[in-house]
Amino acid sequence: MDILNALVAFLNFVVVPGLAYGSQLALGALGITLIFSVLRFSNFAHGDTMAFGTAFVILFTWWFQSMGITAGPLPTALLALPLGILVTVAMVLATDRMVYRFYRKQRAKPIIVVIVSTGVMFVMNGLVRMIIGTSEQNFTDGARMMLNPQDFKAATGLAEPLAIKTTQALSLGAAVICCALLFWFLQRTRTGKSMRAYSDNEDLALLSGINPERVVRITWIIAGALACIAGTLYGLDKSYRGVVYFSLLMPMFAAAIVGGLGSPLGAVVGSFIVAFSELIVTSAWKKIFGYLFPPEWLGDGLYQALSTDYKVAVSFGILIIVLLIRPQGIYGGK
Amino acid sequence: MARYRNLWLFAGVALLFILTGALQSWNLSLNILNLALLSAIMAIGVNIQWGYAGLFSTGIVGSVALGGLAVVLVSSKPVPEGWAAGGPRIFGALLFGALAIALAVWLYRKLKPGAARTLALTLFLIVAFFIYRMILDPAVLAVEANNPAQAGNIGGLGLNSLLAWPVGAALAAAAAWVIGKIALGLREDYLAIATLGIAEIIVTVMRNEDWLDRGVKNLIDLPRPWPVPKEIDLQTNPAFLEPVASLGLDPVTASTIMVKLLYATMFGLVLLLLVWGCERALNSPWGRMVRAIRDNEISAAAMGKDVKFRHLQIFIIGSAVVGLAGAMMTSMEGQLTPPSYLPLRFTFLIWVMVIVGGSGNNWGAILGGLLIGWLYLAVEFLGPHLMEVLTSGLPAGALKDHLKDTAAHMRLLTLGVVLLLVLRFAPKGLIPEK
Amino acid sequence: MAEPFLIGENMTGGYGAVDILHDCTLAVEPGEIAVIVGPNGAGKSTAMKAVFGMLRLRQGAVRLAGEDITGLTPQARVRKGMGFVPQTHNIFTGMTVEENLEMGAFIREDEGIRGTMEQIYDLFPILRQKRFQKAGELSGGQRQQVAVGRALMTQPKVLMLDEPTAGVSPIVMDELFDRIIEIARTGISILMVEQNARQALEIADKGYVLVQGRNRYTDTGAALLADPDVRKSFLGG
Repeated sequence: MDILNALVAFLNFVVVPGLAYGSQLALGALGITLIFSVLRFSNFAHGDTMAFGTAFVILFTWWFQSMGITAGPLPTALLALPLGILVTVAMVLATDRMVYRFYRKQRAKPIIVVIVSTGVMFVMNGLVRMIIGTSEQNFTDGARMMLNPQDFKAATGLAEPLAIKTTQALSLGAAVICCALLFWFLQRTRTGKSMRAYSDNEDLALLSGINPERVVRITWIIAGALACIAGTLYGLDKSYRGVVYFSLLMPMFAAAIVGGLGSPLGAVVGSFIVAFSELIVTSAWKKIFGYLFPPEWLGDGLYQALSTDYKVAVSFGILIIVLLIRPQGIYGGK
Repeated sequence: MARYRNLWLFAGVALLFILTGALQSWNLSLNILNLALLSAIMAIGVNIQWGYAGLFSTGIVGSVALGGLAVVLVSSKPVPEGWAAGGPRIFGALLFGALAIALAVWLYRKLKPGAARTLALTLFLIVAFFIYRMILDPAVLAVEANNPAQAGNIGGLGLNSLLAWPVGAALAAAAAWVIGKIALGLREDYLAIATLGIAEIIVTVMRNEDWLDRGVKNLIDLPRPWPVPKEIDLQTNPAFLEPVASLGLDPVTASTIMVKLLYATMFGLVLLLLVWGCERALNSPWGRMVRAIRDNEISAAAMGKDVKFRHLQIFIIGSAVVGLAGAMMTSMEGQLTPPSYLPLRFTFLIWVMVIVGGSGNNWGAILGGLLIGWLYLAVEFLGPHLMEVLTSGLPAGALKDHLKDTAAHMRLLTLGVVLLLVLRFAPKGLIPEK
Repeated sequence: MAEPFLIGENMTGGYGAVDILHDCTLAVEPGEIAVIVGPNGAGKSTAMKAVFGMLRLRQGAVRLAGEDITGLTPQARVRKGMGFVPQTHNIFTGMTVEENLEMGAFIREDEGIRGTMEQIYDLFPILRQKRFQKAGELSGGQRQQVAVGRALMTQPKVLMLDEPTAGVSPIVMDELFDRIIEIARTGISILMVEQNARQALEIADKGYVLVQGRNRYTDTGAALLADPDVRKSFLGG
């Protein structure tokens, strides 16, 4: 029995990556849930919006790097992020103006708008492929580790290392800052409250003199910015391929639905539920168990419930359980 | 003019195929035609779901893949060693899993709601899952260890692959039943999201479970469906060679075209049969009820129609049609390549076909299938040509190369734009519903 | 006779091709309570919505303080000083009571919002107690108070209420009517549609009995209550 080493291994393989991944999902799922609550449809183009924004962040990063501008120990991408956000926001606003607004004026059924969003997804996906191709792009620079495993071992004298990548710490930090700002905005500012009011009761919001087009515009700006940040962090952490963002749709939708579609707090909580479930189910527990139980108990299995190829099955499973038991989600969305 | 509009539309599409044959090659044209016919069948399946019931599924690729899996299980060569190594045990494990889930569902209904039930069921499912893995894992290892370079799977039944077609439909229908049970009757978006997930899981299973279908190692040399012969056999068959020689044709080309024509005939027959069935169903009392439900769910429910059950029924039928087409496709291609099951190709492309053709109208779905099917594959040879022409004024260099490379990605962009334009300016499609 | 403060005059129109209102006239003076009663399907709510600009009129006009506002949108009428409390979905259920009031004042740019809110809390003391609670968690009567309070936040000159007592208990109804009288005493005109005709006419300065989209009887509330025809046909004897 070596509880301390087991704990460190648990931190290293589940908690740290779970927090980072959960943060990235949360930033994406927040966008999905905001769009749902204000525009009232599930945006299938959101994953590709993330890919689109990240593609531009990468281009700007290369440009900065070619000029010799870096952010020291932090990734240069952080400097490029504001520019990427601007491009993404411009793109989603243009999309709204050219595509979604028409259906909003028509008061089209939500499912029609969902189909429209898959059309937008196609266009974005095509654009991303044309801009940056389909191959893997690495744009991470700066210090790789915030907490070096060797340093940790030397400092604590434990056999098990603990590593915290810079990108993991950044993800969590960015998520905390973005969530704090977003919740402050929604709860404390007049514009934020008008957004909540519009999402709560559209007709009454109109009667109260709230301008729907302004609310919609602000929603897209926030969702676009969050999508760009989420995509960049995910790309920094896992290396960038334009096509993988489509497969983030499933965990993000699952997260938003678990928390309750339309509830920002729910999206954040749901994201961490999905992220930790994925890691708990797809991690090999052999190492951690090895510290807790005598080896003759364990045999030679990996103690991995599902291979990492099946991580989509985890978010899907969560989604199914929620749909069966509590379709409105934890925080009672719509 | 307006009366013959639809006829003209079909004639126009026929012309596209004739031009491809005359200007490029008849083999290419027929190849595109066969895939387009299969797409048209898939489009009919999707049209049943969308046009009759307004169900939006993003998991079409899953049904297609299940159809392909059916071909592997029914018609691929048996691997007796592989089967002996663990086949029965694998099926035992799967049976155990199914029983455990059934028991869990039964318990869920029997037990009183509350925290105790949740806890008990969670524990039960976790324990059942580990028992399932204990039964399954050794068997899988044993099967996959058997001659992994050529086999490593449990093999199929070695039957004619024509038999696999209905099996493909049945597999897709079973999957649709499960997912429909869960996701129908909730918000419309939930079906879209849930089907996206199940399709991804089906494709992942087929990519990773080597014991089942050799995964990414692909399964080749599947037998032809009756009555299609192999080109090699035709080329040595005097009954084929003599008339070909008397017509002065090249036997190799003639044999490939002959095979493709046979497929086209079979697919065309299936397509016509399906349309006939759909049209009859649509004009029956059942069809009128279905359309009544679609047009006004609330009043239909008020009149005592079981909306959820009808939706489930339609969802299953539509998925089965897509599964059928998936099986037909794999049996034509003679191989299963799980990595080729991409949602963009098999889910969203089919949607574009349905919407462009005219949702709610079977002939529209067919027209959309043939037209978009042609476009999608024709872009492959037209795209580079077009880029060549467009960039001819530019000096050679990085920009020109980059633009030429992007031609390959133009397809997605074009499809997206076509979808958006049709939805916006002609939401009823080329052949609107009557 | 001088022009009334708010008048919907000779209104004819409906939602689609068929007219629901036929030459219907409603008017109210400052500080007065006007009540629209009538059988089901008489077009009571429609008449009020017409005054508020929620349906297109084919004929007739709406004038507020002598100004023709027939062509204005409901939102623009709010800015002109009209407040409207819909029959259902009249609060933001996911927001606190105080946020509901704040949203009511969304179009106001001045500094006096806080003061108006205090006035509303004085009028409905229970709302002060529950101001940080979600409006959706309140009882039916309290929700109606929130709805009325929200509409009052723009400091309207006219308050229009569509069946404010629908679905509340008789005790709560009396309480609500008392509050409405109080509001009228501050000089605000009240135009309201009521299902509970007898009780509503008791507090009404003016009553309109509509039948099939037409004015059938128009008089003071007391006179209508005393009219044997009205009693027989519309007040159950």
